[in-house]
Amino acid sequence: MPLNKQEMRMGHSEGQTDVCYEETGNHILTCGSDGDVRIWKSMDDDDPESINVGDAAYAIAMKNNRLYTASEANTIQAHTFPEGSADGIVTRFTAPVTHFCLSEDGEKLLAGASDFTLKYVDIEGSNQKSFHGHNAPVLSVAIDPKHEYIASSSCDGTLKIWSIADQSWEKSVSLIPKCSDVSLSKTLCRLSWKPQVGKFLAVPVEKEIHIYERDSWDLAFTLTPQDVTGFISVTAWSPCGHFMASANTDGHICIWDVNTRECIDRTKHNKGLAICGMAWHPANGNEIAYTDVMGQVGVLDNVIPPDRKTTTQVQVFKQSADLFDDDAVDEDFLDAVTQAEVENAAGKPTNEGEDGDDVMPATQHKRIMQIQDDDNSMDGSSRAGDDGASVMSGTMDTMVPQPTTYEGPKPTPLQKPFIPAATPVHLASRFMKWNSIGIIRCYDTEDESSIDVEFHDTSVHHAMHFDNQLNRTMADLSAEAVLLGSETNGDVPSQLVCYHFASWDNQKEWTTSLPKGENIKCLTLGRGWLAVATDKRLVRLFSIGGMQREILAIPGPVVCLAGHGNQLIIVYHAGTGVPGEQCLGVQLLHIGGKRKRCVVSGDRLPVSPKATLAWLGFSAEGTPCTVDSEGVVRLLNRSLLSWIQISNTKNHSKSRSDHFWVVGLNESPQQLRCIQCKGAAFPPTLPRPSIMVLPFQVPLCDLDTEKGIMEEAYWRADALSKHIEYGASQGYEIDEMSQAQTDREKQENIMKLFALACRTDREYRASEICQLMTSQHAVTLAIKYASRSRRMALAERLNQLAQQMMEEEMAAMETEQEEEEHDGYYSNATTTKRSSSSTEWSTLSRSKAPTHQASRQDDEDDNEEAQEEEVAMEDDECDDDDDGMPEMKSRKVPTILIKPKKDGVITSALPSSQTRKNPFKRSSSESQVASKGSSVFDSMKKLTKLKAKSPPEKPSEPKQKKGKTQSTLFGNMKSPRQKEKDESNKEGTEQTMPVNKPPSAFSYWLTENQASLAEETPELSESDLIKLATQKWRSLPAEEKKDWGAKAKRSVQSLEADTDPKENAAQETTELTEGKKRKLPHDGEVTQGSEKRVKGQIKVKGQDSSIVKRPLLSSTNSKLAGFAFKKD
Amino acid sequence: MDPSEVEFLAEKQIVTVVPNFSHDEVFLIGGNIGPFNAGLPVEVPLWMAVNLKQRQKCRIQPPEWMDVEKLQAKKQEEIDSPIFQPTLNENYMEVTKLLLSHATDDIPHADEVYTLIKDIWDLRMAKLRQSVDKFVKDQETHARLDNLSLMEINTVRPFLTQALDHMHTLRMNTVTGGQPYTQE
Repeated sequence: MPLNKQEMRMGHSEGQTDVCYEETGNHILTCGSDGDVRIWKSMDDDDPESINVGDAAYAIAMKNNRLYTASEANTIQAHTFPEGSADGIVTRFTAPVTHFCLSEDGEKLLAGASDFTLKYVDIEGSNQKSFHGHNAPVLSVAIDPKHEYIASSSCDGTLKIWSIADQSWEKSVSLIPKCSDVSLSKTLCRLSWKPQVGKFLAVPVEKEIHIYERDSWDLAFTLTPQDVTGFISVTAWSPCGHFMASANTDGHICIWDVNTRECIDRTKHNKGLAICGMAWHPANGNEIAYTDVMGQVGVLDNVIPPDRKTTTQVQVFKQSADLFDDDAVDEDFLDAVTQAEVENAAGKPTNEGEDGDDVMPATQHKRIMQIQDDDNSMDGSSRAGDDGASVMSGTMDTMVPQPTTYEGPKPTPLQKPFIPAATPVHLASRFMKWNSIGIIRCYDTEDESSIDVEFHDTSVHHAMHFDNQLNRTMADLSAEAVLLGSETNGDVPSQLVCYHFASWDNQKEWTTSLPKGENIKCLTLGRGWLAVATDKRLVRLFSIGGMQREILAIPGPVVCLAGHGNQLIIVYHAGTGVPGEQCLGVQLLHIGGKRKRCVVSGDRLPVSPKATLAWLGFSAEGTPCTVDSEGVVRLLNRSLLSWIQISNTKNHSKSRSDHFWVVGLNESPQQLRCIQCKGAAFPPTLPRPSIMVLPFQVPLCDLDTEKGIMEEAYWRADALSKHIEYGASQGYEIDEMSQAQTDREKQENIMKLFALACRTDREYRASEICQLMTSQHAVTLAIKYASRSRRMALAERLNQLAQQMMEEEMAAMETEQEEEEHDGYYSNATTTKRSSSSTEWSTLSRSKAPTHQASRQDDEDDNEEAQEEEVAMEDDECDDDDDGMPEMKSRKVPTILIKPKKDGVITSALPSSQTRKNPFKRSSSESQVASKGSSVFDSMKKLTKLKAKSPPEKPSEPKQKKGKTQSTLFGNMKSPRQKEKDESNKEGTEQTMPVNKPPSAFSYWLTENQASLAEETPELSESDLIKLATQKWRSLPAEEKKDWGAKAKRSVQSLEADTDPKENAAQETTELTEGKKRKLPHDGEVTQGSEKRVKGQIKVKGQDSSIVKRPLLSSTNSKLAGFAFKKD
Repeated sequence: MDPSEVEFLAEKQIVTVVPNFSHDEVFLIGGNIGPFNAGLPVEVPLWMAVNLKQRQKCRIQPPEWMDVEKLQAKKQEEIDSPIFQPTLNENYMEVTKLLLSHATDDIPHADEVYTLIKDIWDLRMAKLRQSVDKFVKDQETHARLDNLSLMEINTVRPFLTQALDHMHTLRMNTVTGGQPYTQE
């Protein structure tokens, strides 16, 4: 029977029209620019029903009793069929929808619009996926019958095949002429997939039909109609998949047998008008409905010649079709259809078995399955099973011959390899790399294809500009070189280009091609080397000069590479993750330098749930770091080889669609450098984005409480200071400033935490906190704090702890075994101590600012001074804690240590004068003790002077008491070395008091009264006795003191009869005015020795007096006494 | 006061620049600046920004208010209101002048920005002249004007104060000179 062309009917007004069949094929539905949908029962139907769906309808489809139209209102609307009442909006766009299609099961809808986007919508659920990538209105869309891919054609001339899961395109080819709008396009470029298996995709390209093969997306073959003038605009596969119809803009319709690739039949539109819609009859597959641009509707009958199909099948279907015809108007239309079909199907399994390869069975089968799906609540769809379902269940066993295949969770699509801090390849202008060195941008427009390299620091290198004819897609940048890579492009193999601009010879550039069939996927630059990862699961290492080095095999497809110094980190797919998640493995290697080794081999890389890796790199200090698509930043903790979350950029974004595009991070200062992208995942090249800095925050609990804040600060500082240790182990120079800074921060936080724990009566916790302290000094302070706040139990514990620490330290020193293992918190403490400073003054020098040390003139003074200052510190500490705010004071502790030292003038002036004294002179035991005590006050005074906060006058009573408890508490925990120093200190202070020096009023008084005091309080030790004496001395009335001062002077005068009285007078004068300046003219007159003496005394006096707070009075008095004597 | 002096004062303003060099912190009388990290935004005074820009050592990030939309809104606000509206920046004219003459390439839509700022300036100057006119005509003794920028005040100050002085002497003269005349 030849092709039968029925008379065309006028359906719509002029313009774009579309046509589809109702599922059973009994109705033809058309839509047009008049905004009506017409339902034709047949071509003889003179009065088709019509449903108004809007101002203009561009496309129509029908499934499961719902009718979908794409209307002028930028939406896809659903209507019930046949009633035609509105049934909701499926999806919306920002511009008119140009084409859409339904999946075969009718559950998914794919639409493309003039706003360049595609949407893949789940009709039942509300899920939808958007696909961006076209640069012009979308012409046509098609869903893969297997729901893996979608295809789209656009006015930008491209055909794109997208992966649904990835939402990114797999293939993009430029095929058709470009235009700016659908109405201007010469072709509608209606794509179609081969039904059921989707093995082929038909694409109308000018005067040919290109057939693309699935997965490889290579051109399988082309079909070219003869003698046609216009472009092919529409293609449609027959439901069986063996035939295809194509329609031309000049009105030609051709029917093809795809298997033999020949044109079976052809016909032409009567008026030669362009065909814009075409649909196969879904049931019998032997009828085609089509519409033209004038709004006419036509039908072709007997499309497929009888010799090409088995008639039996058709007969069966004719019967069933007849059956439907009778019931077509019935209200239970669908039920009838269902039942009829089921009966049909149930009646003919044998039939099916017989005829293997013919037009119908597959289709039919499909449809039965589909009905099951629809009507059986088993599949979880919302439709309730009615009587149709019961029929279904009865016939189930017989009618489903194929075993249902088990469908486990679908494997998550593997994350594609990427370059950190690069924007997607398909953009016309994009960032190829943005790191701490510079920016590489790539422009890929029609008339220009180039790469720009710009350095942040222009002193590294001037900006560079490369031509990009060879389509480099990957790049990296270091302070030595620019690395570019391209994938295989036609016959050109994958290439690697390195512009080694730091080279000292004239050959800056080298190129390497990879073996055929191997593609570069990732690349990175280190210092002196570079690495590329290929799809053959190899990581190839090159030297920066172009020499080939090791090849490493990696266990899975590479995801990302990053290099820094001599470290290389590789992230790869280690397997299939739990559903929806990636399973990434990570390797960290030391590949440059002498010691090559593997630091992390094949561990899993943690990412947030359902997230992918978004950035991989190193901090500026060289610690590996990752950022995932949820914005979580993680840093490698080298001591545990685990990852710690140090920031979540999502906490900083104002809206959900904002992202932070990380470009780098620094550990000191703590900076996360990123670019804020509003409403996008990556930044555009223009306007030029600017970097912003985000803070880090370790996600600890209770971050709104003081405790939480401090703990967070401590652990953050801890996590971000690991690099110092690592740097030291790698032989890098350590920036002592920053190290001291971080140490100080940590100690400060610990002290705060300790104080907080004490304040909240958490003694056990306080002792735990103390275990984190790295220095004995800190523990000492903690003990003092505890004892002062009457927590003797805690103080006791801490004392034990301090002893333990000391023992460990001693043991460590004795054995000198650097690699000795300690457990728990101590390991940290002791190792850092040992590595950071080799001096015996580890505890002190750790807390000292290096500048201070540098400012010291005399190294030999250091010990003594430090000791004194420590003593002073401790005293000061006692005092501070007495006033109202204990926690505030103790918080200040570490800064107190530093403050006076920074103030170089004051600190160095006073103590150094003491140390310059003749070390060989010996003093009497009394004066020794006295001077020691006074030296304590000296430095204390010095500190109190500096510390504006501490009250100048303090009650001496509590102070002394505390001093006692404190000395007993930590007296026994001084390390031998410290004791040694104590001794040396004593010696030093002894030396400060030469025998001949005139005793102060106090010391004179002391010598006189010591015996009686000792008698009064026999239980006291000598040092305690002195303290008591000091106290008593202070309580003496001023007049008495004056007397004592005068007596002291007199005693001196009598002792040193040979000394010039003038000198004494001058001495007193200087005392009075406490001036170095005043001393200066005096220098020439006196001998060296006496000058020293003078200085020492001035000091002792001046400070003594200022503490007592009756300084001027007493010193004036003594001076007057001296004067009087002289006159005598 | 000279406009250049006003400009000098305006140069204290802090702007953000992205330097293309690295340098330690700079200690200046007015405060410490830096440290400079190549590629990382840093806040510097306007004078330094302009200086660095002239030596091609940095890119200047336009201040937040120097945005076409914000300026359009401001302009509309200024048009709609009979009195002076708070300005976007107290030295908007000076900053715009400096940035647009030295760092045109760093400011998106520089032309539009310039036009808008000029419009706002003109609107405000018109208001100012109007109020001065009203002030003089009504022979008021005092008036209050809010939200004027230094530069705007500076444009009328020398003339207005002098003119008022003159008018005052003239008026006094008529009063004192008229007295004997009427007595005659």
